[in-house]
Amino acid sequence: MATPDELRAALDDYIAEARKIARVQKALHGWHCVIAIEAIDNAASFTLTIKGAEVAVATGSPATADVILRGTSEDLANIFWCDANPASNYMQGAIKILGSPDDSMRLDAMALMIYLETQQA
Amino acid sequence: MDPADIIEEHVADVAIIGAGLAGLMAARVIAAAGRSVVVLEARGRVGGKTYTRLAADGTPIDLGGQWIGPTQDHIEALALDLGLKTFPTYDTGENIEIRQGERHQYTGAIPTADPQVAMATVEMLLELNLMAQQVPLATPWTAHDAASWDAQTVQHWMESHVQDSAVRILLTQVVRAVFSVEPRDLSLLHFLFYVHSAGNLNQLVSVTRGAQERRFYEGAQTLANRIADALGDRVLLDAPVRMISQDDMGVRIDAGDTLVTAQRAILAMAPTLAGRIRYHPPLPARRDQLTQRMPMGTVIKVQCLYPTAFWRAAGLSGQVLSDEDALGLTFDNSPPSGQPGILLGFMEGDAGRQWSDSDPATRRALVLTTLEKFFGPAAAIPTEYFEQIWAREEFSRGGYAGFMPPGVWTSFGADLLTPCGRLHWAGTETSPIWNGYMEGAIRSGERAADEVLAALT
Repeated sequence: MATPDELRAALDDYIAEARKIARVQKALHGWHCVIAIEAIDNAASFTLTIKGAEVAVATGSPATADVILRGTSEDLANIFWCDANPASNYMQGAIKILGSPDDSMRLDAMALMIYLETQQA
Repeated sequence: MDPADIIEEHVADVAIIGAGLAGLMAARVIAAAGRSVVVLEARGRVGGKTYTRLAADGTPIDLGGQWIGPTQDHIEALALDLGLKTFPTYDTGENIEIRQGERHQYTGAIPTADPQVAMATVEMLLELNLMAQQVPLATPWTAHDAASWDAQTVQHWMESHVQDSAVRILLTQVVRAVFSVEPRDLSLLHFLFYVHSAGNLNQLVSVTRGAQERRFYEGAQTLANRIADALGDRVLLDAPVRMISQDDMGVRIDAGDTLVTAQRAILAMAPTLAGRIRYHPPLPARRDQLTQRMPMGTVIKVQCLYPTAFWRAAGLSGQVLSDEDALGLTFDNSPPSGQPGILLGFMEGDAGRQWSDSDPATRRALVLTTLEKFFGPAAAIPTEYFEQIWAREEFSRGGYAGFMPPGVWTSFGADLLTPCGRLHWAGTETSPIWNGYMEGAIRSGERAADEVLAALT
């Protein structure tokens, strides 16, 4: 299990990574989305706000979310630390994404691009 | 038709031609509304392109449509109503990719062995998904770029937009897997419409969280069987319709020794099949031309049974994507217990065309050699072997569905749904949502039924 502080640190690293990668920035272009991130085993929650390639993170749940990303703190941390392929068979089943197919597709693309970029680094 | 030849004569408010999921769903809705209905089916069974046979031990083997996934809400509701349950497709372990002479193992919907290729693939999928969102589902021909997109094939777009040969191969495999055609066959506009119709490409190609997510315990044809059972003798089998006449009084349907008269008719079949029926008066020119322009894909579905799903012990999911084999796509199609182990393989597009008319023993040998290459010697010795060549089915003419080559949406799109007098159109090809899938068929049946109920006197 990852603690809420560890999850937040992982998320901060993840966002920093997203900001550095030009291809991710291009992929995020034109996408406005509020993502609620919920750890099911320690009640940690975060808000990821994506607006026109600007990405911001805050602790706590948003008032309204376009997408909810839900999983165990360990699975979430493994994604944010890029230790696990977010498109893997396991992660596709372990992490629940609740939201429109469009937002889910964008989120999948962003997550996989960040993961792949870190694999190449 | 000589009246002396008629053995059965039926009168109903609505006649439905085709007892696949679209036709049966339409009949279910019409019957529930208290109107009389007769369903004419050419085959000796219902279900259309869902077709379930039983293995020697009773395991249901789906030889046609079989999967349902997220956002397929109408089939989900129907299944619930019919008391049919689903289980998740086996999606654990590593997938195999054979590309450009190399074998890799990966996990997930997108091969990631080469991160550069994977990154370019994600970018391409994102671009196509965003283009797809611009296609209005009810009127694809009104998309801002419809003229340009419908003037080119997916192949043309790929050659001008995708630089990496490995990514081109992957898109080609996606087209084969989703449409059972080649990229050169398919209008880019139709491809984008279809993607939007399902949500996005990720949903189309994924197992978990995608269109291949779950299967029916008793086989997918059970949906049709249960609806038909409830309709009872209102479903007439072995009744291929030869001619449909209509006038101000109603429609008259000639199916050999069976004659049905009704106020309205729903033709619940692929457009190309509707083109094999004679009409009096003839169909409007545009509708008749449309039926000439929506060919069916080409797919052979093969299943091999083994005592156990032995590949699971090797950490394999049973999913293979190969660019060098006619059997280019496989899945683990075992029941939840894993016994028997079942490998499912598809020959699609060119491979389907090459092998549909071949000698069965040669085809079987090819399948087993290929599975042995993928999974080892145990795969060469199945206890049972099933195959279904959809292009050789007279009353399907191919699968998975009818598709549109370039020019069809923009020239004939409006004619796909427009009733011709008393004749209404159903079939998965007419659905704006999950076009080509069982979900689309069910939705089309519901829509056509509503259309007809509103028109009945």
